[in-house]
Amino acid sequence: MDFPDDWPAECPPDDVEAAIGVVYRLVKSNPHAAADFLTAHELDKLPNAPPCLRCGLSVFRTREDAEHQYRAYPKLGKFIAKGELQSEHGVTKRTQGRQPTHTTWWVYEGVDRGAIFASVEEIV
Amino acid sequence: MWQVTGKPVDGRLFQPFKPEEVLYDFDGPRTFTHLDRDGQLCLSHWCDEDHKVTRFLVVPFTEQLVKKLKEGESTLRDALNQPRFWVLDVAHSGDVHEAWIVKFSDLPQEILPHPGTMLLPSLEPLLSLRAEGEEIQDGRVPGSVIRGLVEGVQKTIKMLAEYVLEQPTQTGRPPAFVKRLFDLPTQRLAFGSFEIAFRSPLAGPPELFADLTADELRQEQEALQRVGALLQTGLNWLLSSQPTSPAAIGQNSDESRLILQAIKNITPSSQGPIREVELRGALVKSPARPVRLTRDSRRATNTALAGLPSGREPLVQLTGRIREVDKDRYTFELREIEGEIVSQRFVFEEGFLEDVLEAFHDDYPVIVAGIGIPVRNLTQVLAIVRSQG
Repeated sequence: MDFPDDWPAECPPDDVEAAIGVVYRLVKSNPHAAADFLTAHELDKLPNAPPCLRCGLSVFRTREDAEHQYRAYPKLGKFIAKGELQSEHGVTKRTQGRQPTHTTWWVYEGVDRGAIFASVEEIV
Repeated sequence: MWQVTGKPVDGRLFQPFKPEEVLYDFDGPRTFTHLDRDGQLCLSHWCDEDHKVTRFLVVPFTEQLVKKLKEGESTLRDALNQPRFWVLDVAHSGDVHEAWIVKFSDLPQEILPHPGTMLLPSLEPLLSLRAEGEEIQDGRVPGSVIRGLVEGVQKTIKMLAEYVLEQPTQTGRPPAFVKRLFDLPTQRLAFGSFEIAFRSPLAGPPELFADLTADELRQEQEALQRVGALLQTGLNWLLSSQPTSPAAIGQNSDESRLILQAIKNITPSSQGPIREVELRGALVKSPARPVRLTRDSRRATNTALAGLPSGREPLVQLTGRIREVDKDRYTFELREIEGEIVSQRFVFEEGFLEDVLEAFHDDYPVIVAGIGIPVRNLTQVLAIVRSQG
């Protein structure tokens, strides 16, 4: 299992862990779309951001964090997708800053991200 | 994306659009400070995007406002509600593509942070109450509204906490925690329609809790959760479309009565200036939607209380001497009582503290009038006077 060739050298960083455990991410619709799981690198956004972080996808480890994010940024989507990561899905690192459960997930090439997030619930 | 209603302005005012301090990051900076072309501090907040541009709400900001936002003294919405306001469309290359100066009131509601939402979940208040009513207007909030809300919350928390702390598993509580719990720190006040938010007594920098062991801290968190669970139980019953019998609210009729009396304190009186109270916060576990209590909620609570066995609490008047004052829990033990009762424990409001301490220190007899509350052997002081006997 490899990462895409166009990622920067030394990305992901050395201090990552195998992607294990439940994660949450807001999506705009149910069922979700592939666009809900694209990185800044894939969207060709944030050219001045740290290059390796651009290649990762942000997720939360708790549903509460995702619910709060919806209230803070309603246009990110009012559905919470829940997925259970396995080691074959990539690697993760807690990149919390001020957000305790914020996690960056670097996805192995060819992994069907949408299929991992089988559960989608509307926030009421 | 939504149509911006505003006056186009030169977007170069905000170039280079580069974060100074990122306050919230998720797939890149979502809320951050930055400098405009003149070196003035601004706050930008992500509000939408499409395949070409990312749209930000931008306001002039200060370091003091940053601090308030980071410490939970200001909501995201309040932080964005500034006299000058811009909307920026930023190309994915990072260049400002278009800019408009707009009015906050012209923005679509669905793109704004929800009312009461803090920068981070950890900053959400323990309990927030917002009062609405015809007489509650910006700059003209009746004092009785403020007093009613604050006292209502204090009574509710105190009643539930006394009950939780009386449980056999909850002994040895450090006095500082009890004091913090009975006098919750105010996190935020807003006066448009009066709103008050209370911070968790366990929130704050680690040095505040340096004297507590990990086990004590865990016990305090559990006690707070238990208080929240009791409150939630009462609110669920009150807001249920098919409520169960009032006697079945708690685990027994005493607990049911306690829960009902506690939530009664935060429902609007049928005659007062408050028409509706909105509750939010970690304690009511309803972050997405506020819990709304109306005058009908008070009526339903009163009816339920009247229907409970021994629904009317006993009034007592005892003469004796005050012993064992607990200044943290505002309780005292009355002993040497005239008549057959050996001793009686009372809980009192802060306003009685001086009278209680004076009678305790000078050791003179007092007449105490009180009303029983559904916490074991505890009576609420209604009046206290020196006995001439």
